[in-house]
Amino acid sequence: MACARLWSAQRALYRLGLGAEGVELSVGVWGIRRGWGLSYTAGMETRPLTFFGMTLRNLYRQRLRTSLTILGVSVGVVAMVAFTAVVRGMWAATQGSITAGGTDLLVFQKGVAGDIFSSLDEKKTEASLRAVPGVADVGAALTHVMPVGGKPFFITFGVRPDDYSSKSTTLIAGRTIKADDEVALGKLAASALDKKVGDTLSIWGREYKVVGIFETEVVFYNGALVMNLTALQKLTKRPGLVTTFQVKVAPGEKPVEVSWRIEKANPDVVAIASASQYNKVDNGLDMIAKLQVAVSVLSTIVGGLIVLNTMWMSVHERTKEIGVLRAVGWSRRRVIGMILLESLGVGVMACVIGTPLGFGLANATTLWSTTNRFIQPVFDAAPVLVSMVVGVALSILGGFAPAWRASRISPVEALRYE
Amino acid sequence: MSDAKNANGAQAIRAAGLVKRYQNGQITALDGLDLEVRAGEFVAVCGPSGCGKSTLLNLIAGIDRPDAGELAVFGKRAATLTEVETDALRSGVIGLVFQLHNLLPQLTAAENVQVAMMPGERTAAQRAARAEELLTRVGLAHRMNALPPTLSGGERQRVAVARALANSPKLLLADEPTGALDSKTGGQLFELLGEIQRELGMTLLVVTHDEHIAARAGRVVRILDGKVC
Repeated sequence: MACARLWSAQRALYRLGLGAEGVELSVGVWGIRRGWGLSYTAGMETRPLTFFGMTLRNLYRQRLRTSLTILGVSVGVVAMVAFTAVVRGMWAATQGSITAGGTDLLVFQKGVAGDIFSSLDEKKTEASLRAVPGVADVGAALTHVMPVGGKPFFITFGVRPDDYSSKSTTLIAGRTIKADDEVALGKLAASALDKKVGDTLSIWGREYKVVGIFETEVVFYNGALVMNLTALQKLTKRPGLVTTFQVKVAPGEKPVEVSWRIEKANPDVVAIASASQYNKVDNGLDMIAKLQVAVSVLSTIVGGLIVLNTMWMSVHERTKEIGVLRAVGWSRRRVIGMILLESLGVGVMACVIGTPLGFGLANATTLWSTTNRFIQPVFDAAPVLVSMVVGVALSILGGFAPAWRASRISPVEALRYE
Repeated sequence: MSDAKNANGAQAIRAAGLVKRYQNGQITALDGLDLEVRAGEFVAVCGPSGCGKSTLLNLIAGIDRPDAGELAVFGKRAATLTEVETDALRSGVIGLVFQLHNLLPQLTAAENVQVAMMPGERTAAQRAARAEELLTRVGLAHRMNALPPTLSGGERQRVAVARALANSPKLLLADEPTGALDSKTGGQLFELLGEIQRELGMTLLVVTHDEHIAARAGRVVRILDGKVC
């Protein structure tokens, strides 16, 4: 078939006298079936067979089994990619929540089980923070999670409208809150509650007027409701208390150094400059990151076992063929290479299929109003890299034992094998 | 069929007191066998089933090891060769034809021939060209891209011969190459082996239990109970 005769890098390699086995290239889609590779074959009746082409042919030969194996391994890759994208999204959102509105540090109560349980005296703590050298400005926020408009978990922030952090919010409709009976909604929150500027919202029997809709880069904030700090303190019966302080450091000051000063001056608080320090107040992110590692390891082991099973069966069925290859001069190393390349092919194909599906699954969380206010997956190179590393790892893990077994096949015994 | 002009006096195979036992020594396949084959000779090894013919071939090919005795192929002593060297010997110096063709079913005739050349220095295109050349030589120019299941028994064995010749071996070993063929096809294949041996001047050692076919070789060696008789 003329269509299969592709001009290739290999042709150039031949010209350079570099066409030896180790540098041959061979890829193809329809070429897999016939073992076509990127090989120059003009004027020939036959197709050059490369080592890689032969590997693909071996996989194609048992296409149902190969497909099912790829599918099985893909499931693990999907879980891993989706999880990685979601976890990275949570890290990005956490980092974003620290630095939103020009904030450099977040201050919480020390020794609490989670950031939501932090409780600080508004006036006393603010005064101590402002006294710390290098602190330029301070904002306060009370955070509460409560049912709103039929949504069971709704993040509500109580803020002071005059704080620097409140002024940096980007409004896409209406205005900022002023009175205690006014609320502003994040873009996702407005969508989830189906509210617009001018509508009213009932929270615990009290009516609030929606005066603004805002947008930030932080998914938690976009899915949140904002009201006056005093109003939320009254509503939650926590007068004079806040959850966190946002701290802006003075120009030229390093946030980390200021955080040390804050913690030294006030032993009852922790100051956080980055998401990596968030475990000082909340282990949730750490736990999720560990869960991600566990999912990755589990996916690798399960995927490796699937590849192991498939390749073991494949080697067993091809005992005689492998014996013939050994008899015609193939070294043990070459046989190992062939089996490992086959298992690597399965792993790579599983990654190629699983990675976009994993992104799709992660993206599905943004379509559901219950989850899209908390999760904003990050689609960058990291999940792809993780899936590739795991794909290669499980291929080697699953392919090595069958490859080793294949290399130990005695040609004499294999030739007698039926 | 004379191979006198090919035989150059150099020793291709030298076996002295070759012993091979199986099943923990309960079965003796070769019992002190002595054999010398000159380079360029066409030798047929005959004998009844179980006399040790195939065992001898396997030992010469380096796919099995003797328990005792001396064996040298083109001066290389089997006992001193490493596994890598033995592999190199099989991929460069020795060509093997089995009783059953043992072709890889998923590969075409030409690709089966190419597989034997993969360990060598040739590029994929060079291997394909060589496969074409050899298949044309064995009369299969029209069947190069056929898969083994679509080939007749004789055609498959011709492909196996082409595969064995792929690396221009100095020694071609054939283990009952006509065993699975009818007498006419078997005769043709034997004729082909003889022609190629004469053309290329290689050493040809054929194991057969068919005395009529063996008679076409330059020399016939008979084995009985693991010894040359």
